[in-house]
Amino acid sequence: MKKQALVWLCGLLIMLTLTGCWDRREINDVGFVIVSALDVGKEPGTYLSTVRIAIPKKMGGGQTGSSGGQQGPPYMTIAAENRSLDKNRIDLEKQMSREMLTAHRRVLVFGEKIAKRGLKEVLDEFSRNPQNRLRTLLVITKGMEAKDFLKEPYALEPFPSEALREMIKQQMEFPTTLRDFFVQSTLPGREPSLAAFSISKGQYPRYMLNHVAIFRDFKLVGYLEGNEIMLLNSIIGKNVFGFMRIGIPEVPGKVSVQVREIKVKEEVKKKGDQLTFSFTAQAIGSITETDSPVDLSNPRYIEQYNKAFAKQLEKEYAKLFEKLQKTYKADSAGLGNMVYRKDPAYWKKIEKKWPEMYPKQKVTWKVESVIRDIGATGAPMQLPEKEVTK
Amino acid sequence: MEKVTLEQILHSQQMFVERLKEDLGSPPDLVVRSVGSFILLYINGMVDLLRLEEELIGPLSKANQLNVNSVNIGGMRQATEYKQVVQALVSGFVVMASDSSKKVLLANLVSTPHRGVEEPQTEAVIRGPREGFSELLEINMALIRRRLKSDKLRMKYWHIGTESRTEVRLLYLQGIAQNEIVEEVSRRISNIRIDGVLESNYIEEMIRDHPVNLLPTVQYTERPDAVVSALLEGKVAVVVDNSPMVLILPMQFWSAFQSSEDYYSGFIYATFVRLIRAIFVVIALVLPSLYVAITTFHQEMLPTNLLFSVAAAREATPFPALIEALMMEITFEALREAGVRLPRPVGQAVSIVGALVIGEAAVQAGIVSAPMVIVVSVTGIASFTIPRFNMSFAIRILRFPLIILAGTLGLYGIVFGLMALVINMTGIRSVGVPYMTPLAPLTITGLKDLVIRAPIWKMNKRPAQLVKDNQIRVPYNQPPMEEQPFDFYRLPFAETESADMQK
Repeated sequence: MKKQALVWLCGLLIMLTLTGCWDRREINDVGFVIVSALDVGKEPGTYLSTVRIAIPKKMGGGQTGSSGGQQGPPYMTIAAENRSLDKNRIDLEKQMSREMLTAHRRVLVFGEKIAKRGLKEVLDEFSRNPQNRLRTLLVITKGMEAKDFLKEPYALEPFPSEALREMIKQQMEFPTTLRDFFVQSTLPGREPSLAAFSISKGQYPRYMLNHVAIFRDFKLVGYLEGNEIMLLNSIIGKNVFGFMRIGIPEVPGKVSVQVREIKVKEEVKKKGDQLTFSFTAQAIGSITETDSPVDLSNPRYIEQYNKAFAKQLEKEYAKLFEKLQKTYKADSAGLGNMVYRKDPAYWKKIEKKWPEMYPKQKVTWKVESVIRDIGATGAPMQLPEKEVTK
Repeated sequence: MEKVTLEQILHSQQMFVERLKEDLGSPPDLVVRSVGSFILLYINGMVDLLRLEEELIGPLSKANQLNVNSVNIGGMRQATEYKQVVQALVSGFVVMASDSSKKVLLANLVSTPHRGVEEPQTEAVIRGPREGFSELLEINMALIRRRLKSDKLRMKYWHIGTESRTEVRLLYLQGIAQNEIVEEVSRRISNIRIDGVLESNYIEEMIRDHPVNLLPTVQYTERPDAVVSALLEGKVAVVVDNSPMVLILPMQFWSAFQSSEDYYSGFIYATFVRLIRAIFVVIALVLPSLYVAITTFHQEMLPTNLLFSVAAAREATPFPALIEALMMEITFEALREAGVRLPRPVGQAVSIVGALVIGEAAVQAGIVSAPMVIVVSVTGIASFTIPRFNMSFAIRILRFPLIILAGTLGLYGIVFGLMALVINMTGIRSVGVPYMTPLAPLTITGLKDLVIRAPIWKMNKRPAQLVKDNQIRVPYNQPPMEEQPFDFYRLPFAETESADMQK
């Protein structure tokens, strides 16, 4: 009995020592990819992958005793161009002195051209390789190549790609991860949309997040901007963020309202073959600025602003659907999906015809809105008492 | 020593003394004094000389018959056997013999040098008694007796050690401790054959279950209150002369993580402290191996920013994480050992050198990475939160195989090692009681005193796996304050006073 146990133990020990540490990779033998960019290659049918790898030595906050060379950005850029993304990966690895690990990649940047060509063929590699995370953000660069976009310096964060992630988190909370894309592209009656970055114009060009890319059949068809993003986000996303300027006939000037919350309820009614989509929304806003001399602490005005706010929202919703239905013909808000959930059997019948049916669907909006907060003062503080409209 | 009857050699005082001297090898500290017609023998230094003069030599010089009644000393007895006389003499008794009456009397005037009662060094508390056991068995027994004025306290005793003749006492509470446990421990103690017992560990190693298992199956303590608390739970205690450590059996795994102070501070605080301890026990066991496994196998498990910090720190270090961890852990253990061995004034120098050399210089020279220093020091601190030192040893040693497993097999290795440990823990017993009770096998009431410490008025029963009858220790329905609030201002005299004031 004891002898047998000893034999087993020896066997185990031999297994440990003989097989070696097969999976072992020291942390300083790994190159961590922080961002990948994908563009259309020069040759037709090829892809250009640009990959950024972190240089931990230059990250600072680490060893004081490490060797010098703190200058330069804390990352290295390499690129490869081939007919398949996997070949690209192999080519990239050939340029690396360390094992390439994409588990910590947080942002994938796709150029506009490749988005227009279609993402159907390129996304497989990102879901098949177990290293990749589905929570990686997928963003489009509007009006430029992804590789050129990445060249733009951004000093606030150690990695510029980190800035992209933070901006999406801070300002939009738009569902734009790989997982969101896969969910949206596989849902019946729903087309995906992604956040789109551009470079601001003017003296200090910087990253700017002010567009959403609309896809139809995996191809980029156009962009939404401004409050359209907020409104689309109120239907498919989580939090909304946006400003509106509204006025009332009684007083001159306009007030700025910050939209803080929009709750949307959707309903689809079917009469024969006639579908009507009705949305009701509850919006909460707060006044952040005014250029009219009105005393906002007076509930009478707030009542009127409330109404104007609701009307404005209704108008903008109508405009958004006009754009989605007529211009882009992309069902980003998922009207088809509403039908599918309401009546799956009926959806089966119309599924094929839906692309033609979609632009003709009738969408109605009803918005209730509340302005909760007028800020620290009623009337503008700079105005003398007698100039204030009470 | 062949059996010799007293009569054979008590022909004359002279012959008796000669025989004794011969058997002991004429030691220079053997004192032979004649008082009147009597002769006194004792070993110098083991006898209270003052009492000897006053209580023995004084009365003896007046008496003319050697009689037990002629001197008034407690513990005086007449020897019946020559062997007994020799044994008493080397134990520090005064041996008296008279020529005429052919009797030998033994007087207990033993006074050996010993340490007094001091604060326990290894189990200090903030609130609670500060008396610790000392080396003298009588003092230790008195410390226990004072806390347990019960007529149910029973003892069995043995003199273990053919040469040392060390007294070993087994203590238990009649009617509370299970007879089977008492019998089993007595059997194990009476079977010990050894030449000398210098510390209670000699007994512990001879009577413990699973003698080669790393985990301790016998608990030891130098706190009398801890012994009394164990006796009240139905355990038995083994007190060994010349050792300030008293053994407690059977031991459960959890009792290693319960400090006496848990019961001396409020139950909410005690529960909080136990949770902290539980977290840090896990840290002490697995933190270095987790660090090694994650940085060498599973880099994707770290949050990105933390990963880059670790990667930046590891960039310049020459050794693999596994070697680095082993190096640092061994150095830390060496530092700790040095701290125990070195004389107190030098100890401070060691800690300064340790902190500076290991911590600062090694990191700056790029030999060791800063995160590893943090991991090792947190682990070091964590291992000090374990109240019982024998369990602390076990966990510190178990850390090393876990680090090696982590460095070769990654998280799989850690899980492998931990599962082996759990299988081992659930398999062993201490004096027949499963080691992991009350968790495995599970008793719900036992959970009141495991990770949480229930209020004293809620711990109504003794541990079910140790005590079969006489289970209630705290009667139910306490405390009664909840139902009938005691309101000072509702008392009659307070009411009249306020009525007076209204007038």
